[in-house]
Amino acid sequence: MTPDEYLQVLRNKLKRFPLEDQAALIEEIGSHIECGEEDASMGKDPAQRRQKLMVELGSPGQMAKGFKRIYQPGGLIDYLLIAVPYLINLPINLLLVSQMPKYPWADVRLVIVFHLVVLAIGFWRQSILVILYWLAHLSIQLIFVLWHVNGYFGALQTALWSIVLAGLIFLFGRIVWKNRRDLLIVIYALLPFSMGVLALAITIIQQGRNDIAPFGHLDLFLLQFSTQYAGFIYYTELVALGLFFMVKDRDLRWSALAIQGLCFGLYREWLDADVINASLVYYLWIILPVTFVFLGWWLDRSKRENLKLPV
Amino acid sequence: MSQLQQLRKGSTPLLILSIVATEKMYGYQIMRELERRSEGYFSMTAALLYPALHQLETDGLVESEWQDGQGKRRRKYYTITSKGRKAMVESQSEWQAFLTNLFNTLQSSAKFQERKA
Repeated sequence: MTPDEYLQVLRNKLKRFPLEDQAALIEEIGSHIECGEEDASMGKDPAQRRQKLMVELGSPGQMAKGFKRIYQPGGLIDYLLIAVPYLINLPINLLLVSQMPKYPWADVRLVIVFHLVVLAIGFWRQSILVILYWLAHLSIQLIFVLWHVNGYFGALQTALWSIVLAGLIFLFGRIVWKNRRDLLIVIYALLPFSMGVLALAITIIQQGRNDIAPFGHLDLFLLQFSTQYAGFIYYTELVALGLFFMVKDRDLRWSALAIQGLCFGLYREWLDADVINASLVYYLWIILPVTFVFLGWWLDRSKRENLKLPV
Repeated sequence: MSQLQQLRKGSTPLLILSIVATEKMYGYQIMRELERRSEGYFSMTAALLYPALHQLETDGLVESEWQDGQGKRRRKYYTITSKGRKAMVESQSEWQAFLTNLFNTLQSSAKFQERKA
């Protein structure tokens, strides 16, 4: 294998990495090869030097595996850290409701603590996808809890949860900023967060409004669809997330994100039923996440096309 | 993987830290310096060295900067951080304790065998 072929194989194996990171790794290994080829202590004959150098490099597969272990730890385990809490969310809520009369503390706070534990596991595993997922979801969960309960937990607990929320949002912003060069990760993180914030904004704006336009056929169809197929949409989102975690192809991962966005729009998990009685708001709610993902994909694609770096 | 290989792999971060603790170096330099200091005993492939370097950087034990090299490509220089220096000292004493205890135990066992014989 020649050095160029080595770098090409390595680049192919690192294709899931953001282009800039990929380029930096190739630059570093390329620089290593360059040094070796110029090093007289490696042998007098250039062919001999190159041969020795290629042996010293180790296989590109082994090299890529080493980098992936650091930057992209196990997709399946990371996915399970999202899928399992996602799937047991409903049974846990039902259990809490059944226990609430007896144990008044058995409410949404327990779910939040459980999610905080999963977030801590994400930090321990240094899995950026798990961390961002739970930071976004926990932030939204806490915003909604604090908004809806309106001081129900008392001043001390409200202050405590507010501090936790501020910390989560700070961490979220910091990690998104650190990963700003990878649009796929940025959109993956911002999609649930921005939809949650939008849901709250719509709730605040629409609450108590009486000047609501009557529903048309399309609005009714969409509403009926989302109600009738809520379960299907719920599981589709989980499958889309699985696709995002497991596949290597970047365009496929963007498609998975678009499906997740569509599920967000249709599922209305965070949108109160009484504030969607305005068709324009509802259309906006459905279209926005997919548009958001499409814009991200388009920008990412243009960036990648402009960044065709030589091996 | 043999036990010796596992031990050698386990010592990789400490060996790298000890190299970059003296001066800032790029990957190729680290590899050669390690070979020179260990008289060829500790030689590692680039496929092992670079991920280990990146892991150390992720853990905040080394930091890096790009500088122009003599050739076409830039070189990434690594240097130890204060956290890395602390970790190196701790790791050194752990290895020291491990090796001392290992040899003491082995010697005691040998003496016991001799007495028995």
